[in-house]
Amino acid sequence: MNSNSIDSKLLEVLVCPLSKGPLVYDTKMQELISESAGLAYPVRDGIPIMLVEEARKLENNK
Amino acid sequence: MEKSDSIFDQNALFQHRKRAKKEFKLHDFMIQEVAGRLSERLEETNRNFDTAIGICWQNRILREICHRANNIDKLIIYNNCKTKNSDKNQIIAEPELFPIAPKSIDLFVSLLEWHWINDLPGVLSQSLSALKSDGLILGAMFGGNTLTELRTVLIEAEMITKGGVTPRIPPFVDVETLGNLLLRIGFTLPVIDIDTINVTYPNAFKLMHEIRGMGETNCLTKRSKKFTRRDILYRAAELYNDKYGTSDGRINATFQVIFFTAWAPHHSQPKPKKRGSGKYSLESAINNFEGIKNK
Repeated sequence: MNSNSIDSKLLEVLVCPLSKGPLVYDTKMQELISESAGLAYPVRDGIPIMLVEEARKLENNK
Repeated sequence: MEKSDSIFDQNALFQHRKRAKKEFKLHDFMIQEVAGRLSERLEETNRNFDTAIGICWQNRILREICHRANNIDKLIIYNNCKTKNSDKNQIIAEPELFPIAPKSIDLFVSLLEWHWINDLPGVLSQSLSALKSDGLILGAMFGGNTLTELRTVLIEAEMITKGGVTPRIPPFVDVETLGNLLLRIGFTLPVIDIDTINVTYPNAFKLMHEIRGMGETNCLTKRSKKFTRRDILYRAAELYNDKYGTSDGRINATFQVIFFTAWAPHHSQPKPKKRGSGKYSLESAINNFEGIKNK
């Protein structure tokens, strides 16, 4: 854990704003991944940016 | 993701706040006043809350009052206007798309935010689902009589000079609607009260300057996008003086603030008994009462 990681309590309460589905925290990429919406939300300086316009679209590898 | 038929233009709101951010301290009188009153209500709940979400674009003020109430272990700021600050315990999200897990929060605090929301029922319903059982929502928003004087004189001035009006001051929710809404969504024990705060200003221009400084400039989607004509403003200021002037040459402005609390349902809360479950007839109760009275 570095100082730029999300606070654990924040992680507990966060879900994807679009699908309300669970999020997976990718600490290396500093992203919160919503499989159900196919989006990765950025985390900047430990602050989750839950904006669809800022999210990266996941490539579908299946 | 702005829908063109929305009542409020959220991007305009972000812009107004961005503009107001720098000198906000000069115009934070109203929000500080309301924040103080909200904090009292928070203290009065006599409860301790583990995790709270606080919605207010001035996160510093919200943190201060929650700190003062001293009954929240963890306050997470819900930053809904995309302004940057270094507060670690915050989430940046759309105002009307909550990224919050069901039943994960003990308290929602909303300080002067929801009078600019397009879908108030939607936001309240998302709050309810995020709350744990017996969780509390506590909020303050501007109500229907806010800036009624300014609204009146602007309409009149515009009618006189242009022969028509443009929408300027937003539709605010009233107490009855809010109460019904909270119950319909599924909250229990709603309590709503109104504080009317009267402020005087040197003149109408100072008042308009203050509103701008508060970041509360008109952001109705159907607002006129042109600058207001100078003659309309002067006429409105004149009318304001005539109609709502004080004896010492200032003007009155009304701010109406609606405070509300409501709870997520829990079996320990008082509920009305089921219909037909009574065991004592009203008639005999009345007769009994009459009997006591006549003694």
